[in-house]
Amino acid sequence: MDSYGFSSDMFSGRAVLGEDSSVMARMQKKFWKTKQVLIKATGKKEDEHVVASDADLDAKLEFFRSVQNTCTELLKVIEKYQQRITHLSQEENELGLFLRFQAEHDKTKAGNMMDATSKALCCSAKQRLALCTPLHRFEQEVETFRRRAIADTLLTVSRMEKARTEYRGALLWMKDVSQELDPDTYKQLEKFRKVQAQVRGTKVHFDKLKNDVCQKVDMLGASRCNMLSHSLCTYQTTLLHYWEKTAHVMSGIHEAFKGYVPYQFTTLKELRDPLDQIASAHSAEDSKDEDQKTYSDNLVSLEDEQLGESSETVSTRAVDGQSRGSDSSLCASLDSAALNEQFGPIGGSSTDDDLLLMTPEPGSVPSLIPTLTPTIHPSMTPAIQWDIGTSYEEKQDALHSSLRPEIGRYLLSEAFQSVEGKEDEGERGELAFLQDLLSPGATGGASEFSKAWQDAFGCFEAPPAPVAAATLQAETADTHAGFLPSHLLDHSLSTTGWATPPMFQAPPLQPPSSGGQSQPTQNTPNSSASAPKGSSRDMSAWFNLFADLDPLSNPDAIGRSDQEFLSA
Amino acid sequence: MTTAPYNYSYIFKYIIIGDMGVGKSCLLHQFTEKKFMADCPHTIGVEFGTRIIEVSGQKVKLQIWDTAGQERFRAVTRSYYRGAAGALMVYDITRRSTYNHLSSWLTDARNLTNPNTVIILIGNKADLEAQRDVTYEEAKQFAEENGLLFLEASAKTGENVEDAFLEAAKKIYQNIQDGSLDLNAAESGVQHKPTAPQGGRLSSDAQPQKEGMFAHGDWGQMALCDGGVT
Repeated sequence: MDSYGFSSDMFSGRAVLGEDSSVMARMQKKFWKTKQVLIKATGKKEDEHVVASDADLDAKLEFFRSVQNTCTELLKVIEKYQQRITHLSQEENELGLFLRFQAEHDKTKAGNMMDATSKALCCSAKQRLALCTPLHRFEQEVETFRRRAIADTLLTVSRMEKARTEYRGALLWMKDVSQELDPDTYKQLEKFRKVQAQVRGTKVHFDKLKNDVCQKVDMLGASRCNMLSHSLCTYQTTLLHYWEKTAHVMSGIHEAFKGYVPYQFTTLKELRDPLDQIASAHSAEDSKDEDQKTYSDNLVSLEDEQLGESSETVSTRAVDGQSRGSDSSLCASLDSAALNEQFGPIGGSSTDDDLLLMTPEPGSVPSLIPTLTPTIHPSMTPAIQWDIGTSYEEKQDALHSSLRPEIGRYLLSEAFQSVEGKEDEGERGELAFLQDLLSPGATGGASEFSKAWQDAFGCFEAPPAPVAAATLQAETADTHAGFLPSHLLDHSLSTTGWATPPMFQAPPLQPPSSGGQSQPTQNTPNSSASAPKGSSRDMSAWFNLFADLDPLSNPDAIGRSDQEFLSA
Repeated sequence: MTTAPYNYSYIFKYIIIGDMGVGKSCLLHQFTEKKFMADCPHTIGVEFGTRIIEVSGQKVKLQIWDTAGQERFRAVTRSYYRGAAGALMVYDITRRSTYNHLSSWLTDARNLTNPNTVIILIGNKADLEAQRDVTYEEAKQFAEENGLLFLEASAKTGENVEDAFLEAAKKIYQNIQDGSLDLNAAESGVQHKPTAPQGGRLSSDAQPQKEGMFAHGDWGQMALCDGGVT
């Protein structure tokens, strides 16, 4: 009795409250717990000290949430990645098949290259698919991890949160009781003891769960590291292996076909308007048999050769171009600098894009204009008159469209290269068209082509879609090689006030593989009649026409067959 | 002495404050029980202890509030400062951090108590000389700068424990004597009661025998300032 004092008081307090399960007590507990829940839910600022005391726990929770999020993200990313691998592999395979198909018809060295490349591509496509296996397994592991480990930890975390709410509620209660506390008053003291017991109980519970959560989160982090390093290892090895093989094969091809004079390529970005085409065609007739072996050295000759060379010329040259073959790795690189210096003051563009986009001012190609102007076909005059309020771009289009057949050949060769390198569908279409245009099958006379061309573009209204498409294709061909002549034409056209009619600023070509041949002949039925100001009509009909055409047949023959169709 | 007479004239309210684990509860226990509690659980909120001592011939009951040092109880313990006549601010000489936090404790104490409250700085665990992290001099200087009494004590050995409480009580009594502490003030922390046999308390309660802990609190021991009887 004497030494009741301090410690025994604690015990007595516990003993008293141990059996205190009266309604009142439970109500009180519930009240304070609910109050805390409300505080948490409404986001009211909690007591900073209470919050601060849980700082380490909150840090762990932060980490846990981040693990949760990143796992989900990772799964999504893997899913997408797998899809893309599949797509890419498919496309690669298709490309390989396409090349092989083309190689079978091409007996030149270029054909060999294509054949080799096609094998490499198909092989690479298959191997790429093999990447999917470790990726899939990795995905499964991540999924399992997420489902099991994270879910389990989440369970503990939510239990801990509940305990924390209870505990904090009890703390609130204690705070309230402490406001007026006088240990000399038994009643007050008893109240306090009650609260104290509650706080103690919840604190113990909360502390235990807090430890559990901390341990679990630590374990989660460690096991995640483990899983990642284990699964990613396989994937990484497969990937490296794949790339090694592919690189080896590709460089082998590179080595094998070294030494061939590469083409100088420009990429067609815009189509030339038919006026230029006709003008160039006219001038091309004069010198269609220029040297065919030294294209890369005879860029200057482009200046002399007029645009719109006949399809047969183009085709022969195309053949030569193909026979040259070029290093696939060099194909994409345009020797724009060389071209530039050959053409002197023409624009300061030193990049392909510059050439293509005709960023140089139109006035930069004065030297070429004179050569072109005399070649402008009289039938093109109405076309020239189109240029009313033309924009610079339109002029550029016009300039671009002054494509020469050899340029077309360039385009063709580049097509093979850019097919691998570029995903531009429009360009592909153009190049495919050019290929058809320049295919060995075409043996029509230059005059036929140019005549057909002129006829076609002499009249711009009847079927505007076909004409437009034809123009587009011609422009495409022109633009590809027309960096120089394009410059010239642009300038010349600007002086004449040429503007690409709206219908020729057409949407990207459909797979115009069939479109090419029909173009020259399509133009034939179109009489040079009304003003070239064609209204922009729906081009789908035009494009549909080409859908039926066989890309490898005689373009002239095809054209003629369509003549009746068009004129109908 | 089952019915120790409530023959004290004053009740002084003390609070013991300081970081968690510096030894507040142990100090109290040592003071009231003369025993060292090795395995002290964390104080939840506040614990109470009492002892009657004698100051200048007057018997004074010390009502000691041992507050929780854990941070989460800070808001709770802040409500205990009110009406404290004396505050024992404890730090651990073997842990520098506890000494560094003294300023915040001091701020709390100054803000929440009345200006006359006697604050005494206690450097506990003086027996662990080998692990000392805070020198006597710097703590003394800190105490002087802030107008605090200062003692280094050890709850384990009992060194200076009684002195700590007694010193504070003496100071308080002195303040009462020279009038700086107004007994009639609401929260002076001092209750003056006449030394009556029944030992009534200011706040009436039905059962005198069952007044909380203090019913049994007077262990019949009175520590006299001047060399007292045990």
